Amino acid sequence: MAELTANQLHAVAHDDHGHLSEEEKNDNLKLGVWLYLASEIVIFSIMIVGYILLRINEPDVVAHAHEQLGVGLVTANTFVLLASSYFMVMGLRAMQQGNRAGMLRWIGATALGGTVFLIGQYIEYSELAHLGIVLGYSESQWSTLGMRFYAPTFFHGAHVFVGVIWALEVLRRGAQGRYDHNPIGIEMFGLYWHFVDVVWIMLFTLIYLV
Amino acid sequence: MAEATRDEGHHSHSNTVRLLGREITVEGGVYTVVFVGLAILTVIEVLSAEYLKGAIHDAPSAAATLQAIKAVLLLGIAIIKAGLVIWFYMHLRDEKPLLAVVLLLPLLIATLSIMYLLAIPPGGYAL
Amino acid sequence: MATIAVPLGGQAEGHQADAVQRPALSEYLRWSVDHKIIGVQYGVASFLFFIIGGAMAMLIRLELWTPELDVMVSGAAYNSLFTMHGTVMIFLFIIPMWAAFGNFVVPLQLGAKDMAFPWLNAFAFWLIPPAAIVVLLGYFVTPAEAGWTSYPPLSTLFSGDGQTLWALGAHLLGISSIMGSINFIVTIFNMRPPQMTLWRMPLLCWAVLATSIIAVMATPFLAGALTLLLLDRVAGTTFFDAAGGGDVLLWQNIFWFYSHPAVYIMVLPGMGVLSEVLSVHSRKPVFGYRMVGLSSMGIAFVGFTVWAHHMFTSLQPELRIPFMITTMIIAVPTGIKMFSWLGTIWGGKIRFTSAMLFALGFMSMFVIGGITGVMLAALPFDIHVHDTYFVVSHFHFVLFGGSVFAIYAALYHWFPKITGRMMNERLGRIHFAFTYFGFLFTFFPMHIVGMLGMPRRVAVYDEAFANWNQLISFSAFVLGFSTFIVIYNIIRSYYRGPVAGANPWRALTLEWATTSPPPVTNFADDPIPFEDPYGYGTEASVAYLNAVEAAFDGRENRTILD
Repeated sequence: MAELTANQLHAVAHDDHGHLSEEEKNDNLKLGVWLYLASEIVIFSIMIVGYILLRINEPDVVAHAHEQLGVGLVTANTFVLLASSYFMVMGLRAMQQGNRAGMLRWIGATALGGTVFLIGQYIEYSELAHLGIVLGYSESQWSTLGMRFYAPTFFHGAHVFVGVIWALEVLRRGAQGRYDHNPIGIEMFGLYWHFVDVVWIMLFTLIYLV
Repeated sequence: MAEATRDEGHHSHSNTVRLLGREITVEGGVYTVVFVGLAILTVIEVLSAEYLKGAIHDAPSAAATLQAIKAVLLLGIAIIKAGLVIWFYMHLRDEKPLLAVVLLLPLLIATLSIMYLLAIPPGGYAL
Repeated sequence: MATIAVPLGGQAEGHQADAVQRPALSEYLRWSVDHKIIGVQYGVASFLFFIIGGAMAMLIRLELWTPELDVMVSGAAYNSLFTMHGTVMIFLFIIPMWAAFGNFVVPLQLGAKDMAFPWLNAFAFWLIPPAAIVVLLGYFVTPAEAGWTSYPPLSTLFSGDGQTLWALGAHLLGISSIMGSINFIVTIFNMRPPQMTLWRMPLLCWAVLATSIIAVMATPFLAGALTLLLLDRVAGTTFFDAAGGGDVLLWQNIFWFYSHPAVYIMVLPGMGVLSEVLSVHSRKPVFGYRMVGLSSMGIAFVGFTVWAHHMFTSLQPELRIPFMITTMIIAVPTGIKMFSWLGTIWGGKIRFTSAMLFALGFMSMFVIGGITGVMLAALPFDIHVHDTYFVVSHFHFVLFGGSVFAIYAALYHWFPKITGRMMNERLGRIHFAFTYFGFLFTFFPMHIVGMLGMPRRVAVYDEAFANWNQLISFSAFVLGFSTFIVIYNIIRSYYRGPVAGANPWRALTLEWATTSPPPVTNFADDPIPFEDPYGYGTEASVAYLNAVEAAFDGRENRTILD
């Protein structure tokens, strides 16, 4: 039988029993958010696949809609969302440099950008409704387009809406100084917001341009 | 495309960016450069889409080829834009490779399923 | 002379194990962020749903006792009955039940003090009761009757509001499953103490990791499909309605793109449990440890490429052969596991404990389910038995003969750790005998009636199958009865079972290197894992186990093993 030379050896003790260091927590949170975004990729792919099928099978319907609508409004909207993504990353940068006031300004601009985008989307939906493109089934020639267009864009719009709410929450907490030492909360929101931006980059090209 | 100089501590905090062999100093550093890049790419995208749409309209005989070129070109630009946001704004360049796997795995699986779904003939199978 | 580091968790030296308090039962009824409490909450809740789903199965068998319609008022009522049976068993029993064992055991096996996101963990659990209420409520309005697969147009044009509630409930359960899985992945990657390397992880952790990767990547397909289904039902869209320019096959594709990987969500943790139980109770190292870990990953990956074998009769013919091939390929990593289990117990010092009996039951039943799976993958055969009881038999062999047997094995194996008390072994053996033979005689004859041509999902069938069905129903009632034995055993053992001590099975994995039940923080310090989680039979392992015993029990171990 083996002799126990060190049978009561304690493992390397952590400084703080049972609690994770801030860095470990940040690592966990980041991996968690990335995994969440991974699952979002799959949901968005299901939302968009119906549209892609339509684009391939019935190109005329899509081309007709493109002509009616033009790309002016949606391009402006795209710029707004891209800019908001830039504001977001600048906000995180400001907080990492210890500039709380700067962070609040940049994140405020992000929330504003998201709101403007949603207003733009509302205007666009109104125009489309005016053209007779609606979500549900109708007798019109647009019937096959409506649901396949609204499902992915509205799902994205809902994500922007959630993002704006989240931005306001980040502002509230940021104003209390909760991110002064550890801006992970801003970084998590940033990951979400940039992801929503990336989705829009793909949707914009797939739906409005191709 | 853009690479921040790393002599000032955290590279995302530097205002100086080395781009195509030149040093550019701008407020916001690499983030600003990436944003300008995104904006330029978007303009190129919209303009080429509009141009190609006209070309397809004018030359119906070459429509299929032009349409294919248009799709590949625009999707290529979109993927570059998405990549820029992920690489710089979402800080993938600073992260562990594990996060890249987390990103690529669902893309692979989603692409697999979409490719298959695209193979469904128009109007279903009952032809 | 081996140098052995003994992990010391929970109690400080000198304290007796009796000092460990079990959480009060009321703790389990409230919001708690302790992964051990949440694990038990998952377990008890899903066992409750097992009883509900089982009662539905009993009603199904009662209806099928005679070839005529007698118990149910109509065929439609029978449809909604098996729809709810499938939904409850899959979404509310098996999947959350693995979350139960995963939650309780995985952090302990890793040597972690908690999960990475305790709050998210609790939230994921507490989504289940409302989701269950929504799904079950549907049964009392106009029930869903499209089967658990809910193919349109059955689920869009021919189902009532119950179908909408079904979809909402399934949506919530999917979200819960994704959140739980994200938690597992982050915990397994980031929460291991330094000495616990990936290749020292117990195989249950490997299996739960593979399962969680599948859940995060596949469940969103279900979420997407359910969203479209809800839109079709509520908002008047026609995604799945060919008359409105939609495509019914889109649902089948997306649904199986989730649900085939989900089959592995339901069985992979069971395979992990089997590696644990077989190794511990036959005192031998797992045969081919690395290959077993990697085969879990292999199954997870290949599982994404086989879904269309559920659609052999609705698919375009050119695509059948590729899916037949991938389906047969997935038998390879499964076979690796099967041979690893055989190699593990071969020549071992086998103890026929209840846990071991159920694990051996799993092996014999799952191999039948696996072989009928390969038979069904063979296209010519599949076309012949398509939509017959052969299919019903196949998936019950993998889901009951596989998952449920593994759940029972896990219950008998970890009950001492969870409650601090041993289960009654005699009752366990009786339970096993009833379950094993009840199961075998319920589902094996279904192969035969299936090949004879009895269609599934019907309440009225040909007279010629009457005798077979009486045998099946009788055995099913025996199987149903066996559940009461284990319920009695659980309750009795919880109060009167012998005190288990820290490590009643003398197992080497870390969950046994702390008191039973473990204290709130699991371990006092980061515990040091033994060099090999399954290194039984060496002098070093005996010394390690003796040291663990001395550290935590400090007295003679009074268990059935000594």
